[in-house]
Amino acid sequence: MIIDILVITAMLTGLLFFVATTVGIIRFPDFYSRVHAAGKGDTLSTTLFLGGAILFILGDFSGDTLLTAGKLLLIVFYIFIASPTATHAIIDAGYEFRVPYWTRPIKDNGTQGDEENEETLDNGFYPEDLKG
Amino acid sequence: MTWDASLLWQFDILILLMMVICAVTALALEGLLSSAIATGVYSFLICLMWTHMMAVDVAFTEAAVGAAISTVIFLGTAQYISRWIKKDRPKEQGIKQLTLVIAMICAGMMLAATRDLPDWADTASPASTHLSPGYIEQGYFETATPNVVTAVLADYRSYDTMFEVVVVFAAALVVMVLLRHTSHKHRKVLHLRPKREGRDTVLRGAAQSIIPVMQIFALYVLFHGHYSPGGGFQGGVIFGASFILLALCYNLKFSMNRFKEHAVLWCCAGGVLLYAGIGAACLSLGMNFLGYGALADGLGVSVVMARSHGILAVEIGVGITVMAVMVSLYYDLASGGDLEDGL
Amino acid sequence: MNLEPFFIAMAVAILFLMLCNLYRVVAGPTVIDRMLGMNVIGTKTTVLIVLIGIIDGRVALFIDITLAYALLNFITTIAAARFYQRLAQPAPPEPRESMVAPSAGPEVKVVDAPPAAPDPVRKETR
Repeated sequence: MIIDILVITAMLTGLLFFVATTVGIIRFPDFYSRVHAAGKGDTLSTTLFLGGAILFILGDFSGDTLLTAGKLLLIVFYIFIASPTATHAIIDAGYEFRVPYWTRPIKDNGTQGDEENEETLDNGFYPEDLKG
Repeated sequence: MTWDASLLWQFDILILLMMVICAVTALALEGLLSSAIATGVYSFLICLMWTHMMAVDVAFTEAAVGAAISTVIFLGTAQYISRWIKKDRPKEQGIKQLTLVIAMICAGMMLAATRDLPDWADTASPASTHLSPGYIEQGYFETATPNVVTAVLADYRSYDTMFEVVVVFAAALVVMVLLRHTSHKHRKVLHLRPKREGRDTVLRGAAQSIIPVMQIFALYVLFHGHYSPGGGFQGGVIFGASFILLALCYNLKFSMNRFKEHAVLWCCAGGVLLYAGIGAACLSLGMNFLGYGALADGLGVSVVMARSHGILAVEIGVGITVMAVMVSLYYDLASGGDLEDGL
Repeated sequence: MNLEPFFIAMAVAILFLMLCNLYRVVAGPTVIDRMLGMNVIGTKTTVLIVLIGIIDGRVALFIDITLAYALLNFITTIAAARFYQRLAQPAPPEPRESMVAPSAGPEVKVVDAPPAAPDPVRKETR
């Protein structure tokens, strides 16, 4: 019973972070902030989901489930290493290609513009090769 | 938990929807790299579909070959040929429209043929009533291999698998012939290798911790194919992917110092030779080609165990060839054929 | 407590989120945005395979697939990033006739590297 509650809590928290990641990936204005959302939220929520799965599998304890849980733990460990490294590689490639970043447009009197009037990708530089 | 209940219609609808979106995107996008990425996502989704349909070995192959290596090869090809592509060439438009017509006709024929296919998990279909029960009931007692897919692949249908390996070997040869076409001094077609001192530290650290686990896991998949999903193809692809990761995180020279070109070519041919050699050995010992029972006397075991060992031996051959072919394809594509300057 | 409906709900929710993330793959606007979408979808697939295994009661079979998937998804993303990075490098110094692919015909020429852009860090201090 306690294990079930723990599993549900872990997975619901993981789903929350997945939703946050998705909102970030869809809504953020430029590439760098999108990578930021993906790199953090995805790793944590995957860890939470697989942690919940480990707890659930260990619910009926035996040698087989212990082996399975050990492999899942290995997966968690390597996703914890691999996912941030992958986002690091992506953002390195984007930086090298000078992908435009988002700034809030600056008015003539030096103050920053409103939320409504903002332009995405201010004076964005889009070389043709960016489209692949 | 019954099998019928496991087929959730929500999964099917959502995965199918996403697959259609991916396929249309891959066709509609202009850039080749973008299309390659869309096909990669398509591979992810179809792997999920196989998993959902309990086709575990197929899902494993799709995860290893489709989602990883074929996407890497697509990307390598795209970045290699994208510099020669000129948009809106009128000659190509006509060919594209002709291709579209042919594709539509083929799709229509296939859609018409789907009505004759049996339902999913239909126990009354011809395939489930004639051939499969024999394999499922007799497979373990004849080959001592619990995973019936491995038994069928490497024992009952051994000819097919051998020629699959030959096809993979031929793919490596064809890529070599296509890319290594010019003399040495004219080969500098690719961009220079990035000068990146100190910027790859994170990648290299991650690669150092992941590559050893990957190689051990590949060997596990290869040798555990009798008992769990996996086998020569999957293990070979994962082992080859570890060298590709090494080349990606350091550079081509670094990986080629670890796994030299001569060794790659020897492994390419050696796996096929091992497979065919076992078949020839069986033939010379008085049984059919690839009839592993003939090895029983030489190994000093029963006929059933000899078939099990024979399956293991040909799986090792498959693994060696597939591993070397994947590495060879990557070496050729990443360097444009000259094996000098590449990722 | 029977957790199976909960796992099915979780799996369907993750599939919906994958559908949302597919927007990034379809809409772009750049190649690396698509790469990012691919990476995120791959991570979600890893979780989904484990969840499907739990729902079907066969996690032990699916766990090898998941491990292979997690390791190889990493390679795909790294490869995409590095190949893209390579397109950003300057072209070889002297375009020669022999640089044209033999089958491409005479009218094709080598595409130039993108022009150098202003440094993003400097732009920030404006």
